[in-house]
Amino acid sequence: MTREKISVALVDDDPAVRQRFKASIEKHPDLFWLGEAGCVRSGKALALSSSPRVLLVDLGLPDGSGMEIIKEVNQKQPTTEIMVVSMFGDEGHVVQAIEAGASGYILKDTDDLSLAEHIIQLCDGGSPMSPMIARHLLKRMQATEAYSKKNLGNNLDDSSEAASLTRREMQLLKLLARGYTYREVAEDLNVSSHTVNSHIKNLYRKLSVKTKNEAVFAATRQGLLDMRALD
Amino acid sequence: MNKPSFLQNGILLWRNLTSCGGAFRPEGRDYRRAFLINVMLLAAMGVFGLFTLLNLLVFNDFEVAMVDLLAFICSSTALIYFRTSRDVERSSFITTFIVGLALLVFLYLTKHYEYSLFWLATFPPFAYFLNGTKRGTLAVAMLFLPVFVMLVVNLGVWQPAPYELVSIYNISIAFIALAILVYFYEKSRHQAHVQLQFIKAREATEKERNRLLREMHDGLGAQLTTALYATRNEQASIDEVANYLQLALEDLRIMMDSMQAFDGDVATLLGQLRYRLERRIQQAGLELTWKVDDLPNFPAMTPQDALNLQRIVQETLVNTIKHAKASKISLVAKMKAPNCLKIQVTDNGCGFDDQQDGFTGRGLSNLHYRAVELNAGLTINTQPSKGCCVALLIPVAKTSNS
Repeated sequence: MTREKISVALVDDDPAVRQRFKASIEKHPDLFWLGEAGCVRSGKALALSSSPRVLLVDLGLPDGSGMEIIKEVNQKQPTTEIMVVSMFGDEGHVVQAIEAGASGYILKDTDDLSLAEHIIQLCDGGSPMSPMIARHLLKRMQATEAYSKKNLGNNLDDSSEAASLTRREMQLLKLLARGYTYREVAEDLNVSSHTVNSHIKNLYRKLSVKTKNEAVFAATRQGLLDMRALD
Repeated sequence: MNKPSFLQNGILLWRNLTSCGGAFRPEGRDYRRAFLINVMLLAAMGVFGLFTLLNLLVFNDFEVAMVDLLAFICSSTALIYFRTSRDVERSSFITTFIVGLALLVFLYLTKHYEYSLFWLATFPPFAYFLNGTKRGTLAVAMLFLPVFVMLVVNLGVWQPAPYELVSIYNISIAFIALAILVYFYEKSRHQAHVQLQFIKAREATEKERNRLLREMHDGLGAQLTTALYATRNEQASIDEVANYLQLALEDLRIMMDSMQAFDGDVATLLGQLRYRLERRIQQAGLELTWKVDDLPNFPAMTPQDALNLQRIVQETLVNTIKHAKASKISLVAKMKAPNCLKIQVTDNGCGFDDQQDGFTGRGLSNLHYRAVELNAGLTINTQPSKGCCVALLIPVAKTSNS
C-alpha cells in the first residue's frame, strides 16, 4: 500500500527543537520535511508559499504569537492541518489554538516514534485529545448551542445544525473527558477505532466552524454584516 | 498651599479621632467597632452640645438644657474613656446606655411636645451597630418598653402638640443624625468588606505559593537532584537519566493541570491524571482497568480539595507503579450514595505489611494527611503478596448534574 508522503513544516524559535523534529521526520518513510521557520513573519510566508499538509506551530515566538499564523493559515489554506507544539499541553494554550483552527497538539518532549505517529494520526483522523480539553470543548459547545437556541430562533437552522453535536459525538466527548482511551471508547460505543478517529476529526472541525459562526453572529448583532448577503 | 494642608489636617484629625490615635489598625479585628463607637460618640456630643446651646439660648428650656449638658459631658467622658482604655465591649455598652438614658429623660421631660418622639428612631441603629443583634434587641426592648408604657398611659392625657420652630429643629436634626449614623455604618461595613477581600486574597496567594514551593521541593527538586547526582557520579545510564527527567517533566505537567480552574468536575480530574500517567503505567507493564462513572458536578468542592484528591490518587497509582510489582491495576470511581463519592484503586501486586515500620513511612502518612484535609475516609487494605486496595470515601455536599 503506497500513499503520498505527508509534507510537514515547523515554526519554532528554538533551533534545537527544529533540528530534532527535522531529524525525526526525515527518518520516517511516510513523512516529508518541507521546511522550517523561527518567527511569525517567516512562518506565515513558509506556510502560505509551500502549503504543507501538516504545519506544526509553537505559540511563543519572538515577534508575536503562533496564534496569528494559525488564524491566517486556517483561513487562507484550509487544506493544511495545523498542530500546536506545546511544552505542557495545558488547557489554556491548546483550547485557544483549537478554536483558532488548529486540529491537535503535540508535546515538545514527544519521542521520535510517537511524533511521527501523531502526525499520521492527525491526517488519518483525529489528533489525540486530553480529557481536560475534551471537557472544555464539551462545555463550550453546550454553551454556544444554548446561546444559539435562545437568541437565534429558527433563522439559522441550517448552519447551526451543521455545527451542533450529534448524540454520538456527545457520548464520545463525555467518555474522553472521563479519561477513557480511544480504544476503550470504541469498545464502549461498539464502533471501530477508525470511526472514533473520524468523529474526533469532525469535532475539531465543528469547533472551529462554531467559532466562525459566533464571529458571524457577533458581527451581525453589531450591524457589520447583513445576514442576507451571506447566502 | 494653606487650604489643602488645612484639609489634610482635618483628615488626619478625623483618622486620629476615629481610631483612638492609631491604636486600632484597619486590618485589626476591632477596628470597625472602634470606628463606630468613636463616630457615634462624636455625633452624640455634637447633637447634645448643640441642643444644650439651643435650649439655653433659643428655647429657654432650662431642664432639657441640663439633660443635654449632662449627656454631652457623659459622652465626652465616654470618648476619653474609650480613647485611653480601648475597651471596645464596655465602651459600646456605655455609649448605648448614655444615648438611651438621655433619650428617655428627654421624652419624660418634654413628653411628645417638640416632636421628641422622632429622636427615638435614632436609637435602634445605635443599639444594633454597637452591640450586635442579640444585645442590640435587648437594649431596644429596654428603651422602648418604658416609652410605650408612657405612651399608652398618657392616651387621652396629652394634648395635641403645637407645630412650631422648635419642632422643625428637632425633626430635621434627628433626621440628619440618623442619616449620618447609617452613612458611617455603611461606610465602615464597606471598608471592612474591602479589607476582608484583601486579606482573603493575600491568604489565598500565600497558600498557593506554599503549595507550589512544597511541590517543587518534594517533587521536581528531588527528581532533578536525583538525575543530577546520577549523571555526576556516572552511576546511571543515559536511559535512566532520561527517565528521571521525563518523570520530572510529567510531574510538572500534573502541577500545571492542578493550577487550571476547577469547577467541581472530578471525573475529568481523574481522566486527566490517567492521561498524564498513561506512559508510566504502560511502561511498568500494568494492565489498567478504568471505570469512571458519569459523575455529577460537585460545585462545593474547592480547588484545594481537588488538589488533595488529585494527589491522593496520583500517589496511590505511582506507589503501585513503583513498588507493587503488579500486573493489573484498576480504578473505580462511582457515587456510593447521593452524598458520597467512592474512588478505589486496586492492584494484584506484592502488597505490604502495614504493621511493619518501613511502610508507615512518609508516603502513607502523606496520603492520610491529605485525606484528613479533604475530610475523606481513607482505608488501605493490604497483606503481603495479596495485593493492595486503597479506598477513598469523599463526602460531597449538594450535587448538580452538569
